[in-house]
Amino acid sequence: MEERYTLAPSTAPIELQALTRPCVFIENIRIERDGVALAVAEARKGRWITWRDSTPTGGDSIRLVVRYDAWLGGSGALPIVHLAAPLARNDASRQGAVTVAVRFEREGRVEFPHMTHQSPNEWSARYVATPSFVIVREANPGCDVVSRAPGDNGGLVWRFALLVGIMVAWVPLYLAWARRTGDSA
Amino acid sequence: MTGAYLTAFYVIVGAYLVLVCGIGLYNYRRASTEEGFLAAGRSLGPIIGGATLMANQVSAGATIGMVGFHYFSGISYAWTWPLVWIGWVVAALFVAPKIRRVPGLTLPDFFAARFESNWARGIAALFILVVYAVMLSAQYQAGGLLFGLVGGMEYSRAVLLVAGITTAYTVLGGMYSNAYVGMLKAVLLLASYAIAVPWMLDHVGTVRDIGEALTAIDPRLTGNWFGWRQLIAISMAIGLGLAVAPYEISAIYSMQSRRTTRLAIGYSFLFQACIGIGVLLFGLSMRVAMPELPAPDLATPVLGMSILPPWMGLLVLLAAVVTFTRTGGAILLTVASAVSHDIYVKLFRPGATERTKVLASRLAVLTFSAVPVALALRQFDLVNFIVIWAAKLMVSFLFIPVVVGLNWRRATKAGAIASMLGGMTTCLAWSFLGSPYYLGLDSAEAGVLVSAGMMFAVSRLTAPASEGTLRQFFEDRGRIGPH
Repeated sequence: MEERYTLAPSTAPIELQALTRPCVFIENIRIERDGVALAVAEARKGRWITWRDSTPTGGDSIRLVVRYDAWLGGSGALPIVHLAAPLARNDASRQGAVTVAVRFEREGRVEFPHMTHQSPNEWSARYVATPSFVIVREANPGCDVVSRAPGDNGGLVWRFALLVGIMVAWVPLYLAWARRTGDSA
Repeated sequence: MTGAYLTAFYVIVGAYLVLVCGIGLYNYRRASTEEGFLAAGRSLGPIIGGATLMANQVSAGATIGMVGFHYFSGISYAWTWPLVWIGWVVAALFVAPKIRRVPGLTLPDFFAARFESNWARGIAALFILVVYAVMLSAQYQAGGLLFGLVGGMEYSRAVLLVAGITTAYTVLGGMYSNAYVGMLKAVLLLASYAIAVPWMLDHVGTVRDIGEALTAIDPRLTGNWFGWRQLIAISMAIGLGLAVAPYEISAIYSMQSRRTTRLAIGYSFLFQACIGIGVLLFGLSMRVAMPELPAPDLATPVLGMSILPPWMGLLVLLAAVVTFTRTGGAILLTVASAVSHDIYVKLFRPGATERTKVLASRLAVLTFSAVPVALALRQFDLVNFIVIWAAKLMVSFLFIPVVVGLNWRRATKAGAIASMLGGMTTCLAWSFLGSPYYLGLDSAEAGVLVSAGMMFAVSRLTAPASEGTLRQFFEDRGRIGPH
């Protein structure tokens, strides 16, 4: 994986993060700022991995390059290391501030999000914000993600089901009442 | 963004512009009377009527703003849909059937008929003009953001382009155009969501997977980012506001009968439910797919441009373009009718010919499309916050005079005027006090309370409307309340 950022100068420390998934490994992360390699501190909390650099920044812009190797499990979803804050562009153009490139060892295909095929084993796209993951075809079925224990969904499932249930009940009930009413009511 | 994609985007926008102008030209002759231009000759059936009601409500505030709201705040805002529907039930029970007893074209016509006062008509028209200018600016702002990001246009030019499309078909075909473009909007929205939502779920994961990712990002996204207090205040402003919203009243006047109106509200629920679920899933899955967007309002443009396959993305973006131009058209028509019909014709030129009235309406559409452009260029806030604020102002000055006026015989002209002035002033004062819940009240709640207090107190102290007027509104249900 390779990400190239062109950002407005900022005094805030650079913090990158990735939301990990089962059976996926991120290794050999290398981060360069304006051509200089950074020594970042890695920390893990729950599903999050963060990399933080607190070196003061200078200059008119920040050119950040992030490279790492990722090994896939069965889901085909590959987490992307991304900045922990919205990207501040350093120019007035409408172009996105980050270019994300995925290079496969062998031939592969990115299915999500939309990317352009650059060569048989490379896909890339420019974005206004970094995606949190890509989905690739030809995943290594070395890990059975389907059998993993479900995580905490925060009650989203029952809330969503209740909302849909209310809507599904409401429409026919209302229409049944409206059909029964006459024109003078 | 490739050149081919950009070309395809402008080709479909161009095709849409040609289509809506064609719809406008097709309806040009039918809209040659004032009733044709402002109320589609009272010819709308339940399905087109339902699409029209939905198309008025589901604005850029939904397809751009609400997707952005779900993006930054999660699922809790979705509870506003069923809460807002309570407002529609109020409309079906207490507003729509009775307001059609007035052979009017606009909401201020009701004020003039019920309260026997051109002052009440003029004040209502003036306030509608101000509030809808703000609401229209939100549509232009959403359009500016979308065309700016996707089409690479300068924001100011993009705002002008959106204003141009909106004005073009409205000035040609009036309410007829709005009804047919509303149907087009319903079909496009439902089709694009029916295709894109399953695709997103297939790639981002099930609702459970999305919930797990969102909980890891921020647990409030799957719980209650907005508390019930805030949700009820927002829903009250939007829902009760919709029950008396001038563009919805104009749509109600455009329908064939009272029963048609009630059925149309039901079909509008169906359209809204599909769109509400789609908007929610788009917002949540976008947060999972791209958690650090520079602004939440960019969620829909980025979804169409960078996440979905190109043809599907173009369909979603076209649906968004149709959304804000169509709602913009309805708002513009209402603003124009407030100026041409309620102020110019009714107050200054009562003897004007049909041709003069229609010409005045068309000139008003052209003139008043420019005011919101100036507001949109300032970009005061997120699109949905602007829509909510305008809805709060609307409910504060309109809800009580309309609903109480239709259902309480003792409501008087002075009561209605005091109610409008009190509600509007209070809501504005509350909005600028700085604290979101000054004295424990939201600005809309304070506005409605003061509006109600003024209506009941002043009506008690002043003479009621004439027996003839009261008979027109209350003849089939006896006397309600003391005289």
